[in-house]
Amino acid sequence: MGFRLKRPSALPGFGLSLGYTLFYLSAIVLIPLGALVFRAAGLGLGGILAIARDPRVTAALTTSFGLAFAAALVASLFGLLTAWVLTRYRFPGRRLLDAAVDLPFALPTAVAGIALAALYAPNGWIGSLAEPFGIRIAFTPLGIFIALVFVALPFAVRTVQPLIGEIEAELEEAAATLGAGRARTVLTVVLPPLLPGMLTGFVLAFARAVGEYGSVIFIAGNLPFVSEIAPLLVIIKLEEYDYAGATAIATIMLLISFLALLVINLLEAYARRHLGHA
Amino acid sequence: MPAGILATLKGGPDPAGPIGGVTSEPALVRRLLIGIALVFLAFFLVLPLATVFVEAFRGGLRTYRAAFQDPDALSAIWLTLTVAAIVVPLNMVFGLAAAWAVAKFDFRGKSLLVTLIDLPFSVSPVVAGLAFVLLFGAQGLAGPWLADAGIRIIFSLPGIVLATVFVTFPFIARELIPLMQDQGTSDEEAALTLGAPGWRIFLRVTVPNVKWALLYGVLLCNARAMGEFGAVAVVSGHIRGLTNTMPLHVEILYNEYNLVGAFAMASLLAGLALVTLAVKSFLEWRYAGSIASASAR
Amino acid sequence: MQVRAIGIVKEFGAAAAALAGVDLDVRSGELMALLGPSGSGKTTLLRVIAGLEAPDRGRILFGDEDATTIPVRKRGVGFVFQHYALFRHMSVFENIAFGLKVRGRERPSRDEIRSRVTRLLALVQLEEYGQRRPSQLSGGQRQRIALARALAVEPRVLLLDEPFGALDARVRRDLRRSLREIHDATGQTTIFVTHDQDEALELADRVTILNGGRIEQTGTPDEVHDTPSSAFVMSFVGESTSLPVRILDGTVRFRDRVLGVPGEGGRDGPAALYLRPWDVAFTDSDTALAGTVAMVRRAAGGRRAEVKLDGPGQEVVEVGIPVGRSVARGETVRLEIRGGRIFAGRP
Repeated sequence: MGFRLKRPSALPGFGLSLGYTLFYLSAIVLIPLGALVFRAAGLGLGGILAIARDPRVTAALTTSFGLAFAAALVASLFGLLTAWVLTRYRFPGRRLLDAAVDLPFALPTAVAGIALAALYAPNGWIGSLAEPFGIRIAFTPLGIFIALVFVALPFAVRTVQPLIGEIEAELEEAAATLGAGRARTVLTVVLPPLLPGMLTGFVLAFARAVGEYGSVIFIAGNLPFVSEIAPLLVIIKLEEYDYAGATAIATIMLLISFLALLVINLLEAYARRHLGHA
Repeated sequence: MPAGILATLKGGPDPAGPIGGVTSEPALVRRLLIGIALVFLAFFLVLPLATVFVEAFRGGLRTYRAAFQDPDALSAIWLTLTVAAIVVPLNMVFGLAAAWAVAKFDFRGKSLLVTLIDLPFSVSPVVAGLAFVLLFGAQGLAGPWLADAGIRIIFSLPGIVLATVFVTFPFIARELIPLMQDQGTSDEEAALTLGAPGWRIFLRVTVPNVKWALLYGVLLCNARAMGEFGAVAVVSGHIRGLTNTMPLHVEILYNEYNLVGAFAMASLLAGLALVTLAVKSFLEWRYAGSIASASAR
Repeated sequence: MQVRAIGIVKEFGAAAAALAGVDLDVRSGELMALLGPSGSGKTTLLRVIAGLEAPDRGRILFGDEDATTIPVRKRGVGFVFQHYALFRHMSVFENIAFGLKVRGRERPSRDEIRSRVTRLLALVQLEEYGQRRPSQLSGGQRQRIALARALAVEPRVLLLDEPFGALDARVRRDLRRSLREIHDATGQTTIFVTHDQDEALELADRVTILNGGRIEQTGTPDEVHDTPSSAFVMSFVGESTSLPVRILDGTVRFRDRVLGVPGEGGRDGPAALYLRPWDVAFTDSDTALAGTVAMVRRAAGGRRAEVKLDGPGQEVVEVGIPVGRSVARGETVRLEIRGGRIFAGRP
């Protein structure tokens, strides 16, 4: 085994707890994902790329990644604003709002999905407001985008919120004594240290949004080449017993997840090194 | 102090004194930012939630209650409760074991292990479901062998449980690990010098130290387990009355244009989410120190 | 630049101690220490001078200009924070240059900024460290960078909040000296806050002692140490012990024994006699106060004996032990009181 105690410890239970952890991790996560990778390996890189080049698959992947990127971006910006407002300002209802930010975490995705669909449909509360301007939200890519922002929001808020709370008032005071105005203090002193946290939030939000299914399918309309997302196409392929197709799309999505994890770890290492703290 | 009372009414003291705020924005900017955040959150959080309940009660209380007379609805509720009752304890045992190994010992490959524990968070639930189909399905790697042995995993309860375990895998472990790392090993070592055996140390010293974080993790794990949709959709086969969980039943009803039925079922899940959020907020408020570790995330 | 605080009142400051009417006059080019226990208001006073807190009443004058309503960023103060408040995401160079870069229209040219930062790095003896990050510096180095950054804006007054609070003893000593040297080189009017009397007495031209939001005394280190104006200053600055005494007809009496200390205008009644260790001496006279040595310890300046006086009160007096005299614990000694200061009230 490559695992060896670096530091001897008097506490018992290391072998048992680590052994169980590795067993459970393997059984639940690694072996199933391994099965996927095994299948993908059977297809070969050429096979996967051939499937990815299918116009409908390309369109679905483009839709998923493009809209996930846009949604993560918007969620990050509004997440920063929300986190700032919730941490820095005191106003009635702040605690309630703070709790509500986690709603997309806690609300089952299918519930969110049908609620968003009803809300943004042409006859829904918001959809009917947009309709007169010729804007259709539900059953278009715009609807997918809205659902993904919903899903991504808590990641964006919760990664920066503790960092905002940790900003020492001394830093802002120092900038003020040195003659910086408020806007400049915020831009040059307050925000830069938040950037790694924002990026982590962005990547987490992006990874979640790319894979999101339940919140999206009800509002998406699921029109091939227009508003069909990659996870839905995986399910469609599976229902058509096209295991190769499903595997190829899933592998590409999985690859993106691994890349996202890698980026997050690098970001955290960077932040630790350059900002003196995580 | 009328000034103080006025400040409280306005939601706290005005940090901008007569010489201008040093660590805050001008009042106008503050109000504007609060306003934008409120509108944004109202559109994205409050309205969708309100929609669920409005739609559910659109036909009145009688129709709402009638939605739960349906035997398929009842069996979906029952299945969801069963799945959660299996999944949450499994992940709890795992979370405690993983946290004990990671937080109390130093070993090579620890950061890799922690990364792997977080992995299911970044995997699409649909991809997770597919992985189980590729492993246990009729065309899967272990499929023929399982068929010979007469074991059915996909399109039945074990598959749903496995997919749900995968999706909720990190919740409890990741609440416990940072906290237990912060707490260090001194309590356990003290108990050890007093002659306590290992299991007693774990149950009487370690677990009480993390009980609120554990509850917190269980809460989140449970909410996600009951609400999981994508992964379960892939492995369940949507067999009514047999492998239909509550979220899947919501989908079926919605696609059949039984909106009241769908939103009625959804309102139960939304209620669960609200209770989860309420208890979560309470735990965060009351036991902040014993839930979060000193470092963020 | 002369800095004056007139009648400063600050009630319920945000997480800060209150000030109950404080007058302070810092002369141009002076190095002034604000000394006091925690909660005495010394940091609040410093922050009010800086403009980080607004006083409820009173005025701050810089020279003849009323600075009370000038916002902090236009007030022209250099502030060194207790934990330095260096910008972690900027290099040392960028930290020092920050105050120059944010000047807007009066912003100096790039070359001028560069040369000024280089000069400041030389002043704090960290020429080689310009491209480092604050996280790569030791505590003492960070402190000096914070000082250089505050000086970069050529402030009218330099303010330091517990500048050596977070450092270990040796680094403290070195930095004290270099702060004094930098002050002498620049002639910068400087006010620093400390709870450490050694720091205040060693470094400052004058010391202001605060207690409970009021100023107890302002004076040179010698003045506050040798002629303290209150019992608080007496006990806070330097070593002292006290005895409960009674003043009667201009004499000071301890348990009906007349001590050889003048009662100087003290009103008749109970009072406290504060003694520095060298106000008390060992003697052979049989009529002197008798006591037992409870403890012998080594203090900064020499050895001290804690003597428990015989009698009902069991008062403890600290005695400076002359070089060459040996004193053992449990030994019975006789003490002569040669000086001390009387303050009204009980000790």
